[in-house]
Amino acid sequence: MTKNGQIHRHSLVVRLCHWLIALSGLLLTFSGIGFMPLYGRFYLNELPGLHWVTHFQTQMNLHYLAAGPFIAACLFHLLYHWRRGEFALVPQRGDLKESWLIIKAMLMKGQEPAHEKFLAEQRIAYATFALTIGVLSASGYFLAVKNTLGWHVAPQVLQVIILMHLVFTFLFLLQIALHLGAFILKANRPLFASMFNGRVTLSYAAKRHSRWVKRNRIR
Amino acid sequence: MKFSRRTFIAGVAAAATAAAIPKSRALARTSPESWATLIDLTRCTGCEGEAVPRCVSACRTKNAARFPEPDPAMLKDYWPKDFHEDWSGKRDEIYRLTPYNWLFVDEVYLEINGQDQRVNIPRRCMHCDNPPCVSLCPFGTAQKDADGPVRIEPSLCFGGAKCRAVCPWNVPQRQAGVGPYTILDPMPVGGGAMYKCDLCRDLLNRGETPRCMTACPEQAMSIGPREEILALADQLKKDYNGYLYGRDEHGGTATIYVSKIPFEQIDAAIIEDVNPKKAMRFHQPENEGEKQHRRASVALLAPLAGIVGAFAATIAAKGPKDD
Repeated sequence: MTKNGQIHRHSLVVRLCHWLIALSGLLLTFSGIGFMPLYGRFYLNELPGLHWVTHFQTQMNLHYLAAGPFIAACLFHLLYHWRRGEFALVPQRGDLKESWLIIKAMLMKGQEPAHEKFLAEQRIAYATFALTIGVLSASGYFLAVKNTLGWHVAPQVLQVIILMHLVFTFLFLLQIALHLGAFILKANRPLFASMFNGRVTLSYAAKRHSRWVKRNRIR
Repeated sequence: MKFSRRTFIAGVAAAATAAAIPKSRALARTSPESWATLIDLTRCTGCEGEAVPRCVSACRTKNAARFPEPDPAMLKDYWPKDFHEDWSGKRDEIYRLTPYNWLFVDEVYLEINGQDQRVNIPRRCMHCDNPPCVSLCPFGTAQKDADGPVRIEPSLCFGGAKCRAVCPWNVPQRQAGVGPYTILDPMPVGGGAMYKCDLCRDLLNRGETPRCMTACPEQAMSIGPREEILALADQLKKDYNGYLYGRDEHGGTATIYVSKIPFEQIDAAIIEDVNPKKAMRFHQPENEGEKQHRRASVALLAPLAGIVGAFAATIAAKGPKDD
């Protein structure tokens, strides 16, 4: 697990899955926002190479194109870790309280509680992401099935589903902003590199994720 | 990768799902009992001699209470763009579709067998079988009822005018200063609300006939169950040795025109004086939704790919636990 003063944190499968979800999620968000006539209004289509962004059918094609890898990767992630019994990101009792202590410590430069592999707030963020992605995927999938198979759905039901998709898109955007915003805090930055190379330094892990390091050593 | 009973079952499920997705075009299933309308151009006189064709007049009177009443303070440009769409000062406009005029009669002059001929064409929403305005509205305010009519719910419409952009006939029309976007002002979102013919939805619910049809002195327009209207259209086509438009175009619509003159000829006359992009034409638009069918089908198989992939990966690689 440890090599050259570094500790293995994320396997290649985990990193690939993460980046597939991230990239397809960004494409889905970009094309999804493109369904609202915002890009033309704000002259995005006048930027070099972006004349196509106001073509709604192209955005729809892009949305379908990105939806496949996104949904596949999300389901892969759930089943893969479930089958391997890897549940470290699932929220635990007391996570809300612990999150508050972590934020307080980071802001007041105090002592953070000892962490497992993931911070309590990461587990909470994971759960909210999972809920948002679940609603977006289910509603989006339903709409794709409807459009493909020509289902007739009661207009009121359809409207609720479309609005749900829209509202959760904005929640998804907010969560992405918070997810990326977490790296503004210096204490979180080593985790960013670990999403590329899969490793963190042992000294960082021992300092911040001492419970995880201890458990790994015992193992 | 090792193959086991599980992976085999997953593979069979994948193949079965792929086979279950129909290969045909993505047509909305329009029931034979749904409403369809027929417009017989050989009968329409455009109410010659009258200031306003009676169908137009009846439509305006019937729907007057539903016409937009904009907030004057909101009649301002869609920042950062320097325009806004306000028809409230042009409510008398009857020669095109506007938020205050959901039906108009186009007049086209053609030379047929060396003789000048005027063709009068009542134009309104075609009520497509597979309407892109419905499948692409980001707020779900454009809706298609099971019995055929396509309608827009203006109280929930932000007036982005996307429905008009994707409509091959440029039907929905925008009025600024109304709708939920006014609540969000000064946030630069929305532009009003969209308006169009809903085939007198309320009258249909009560078993009555749309006003434009009852007002027509020539009985140029009729409505009935789809199968009956299609049969009638075929019969008239035969009787006139004529042509149909709207039955198959754009994947099918609930508005069938019958004419003795080829529609290509009428279309050429329509775009003689009007910008083709803004005209209500008799062209052959493709239904983009149908073209997207294959891409959507691939997306529909995605869950299966994820499930099969996860089982395959966990069977193939039983490495150390990653937490």
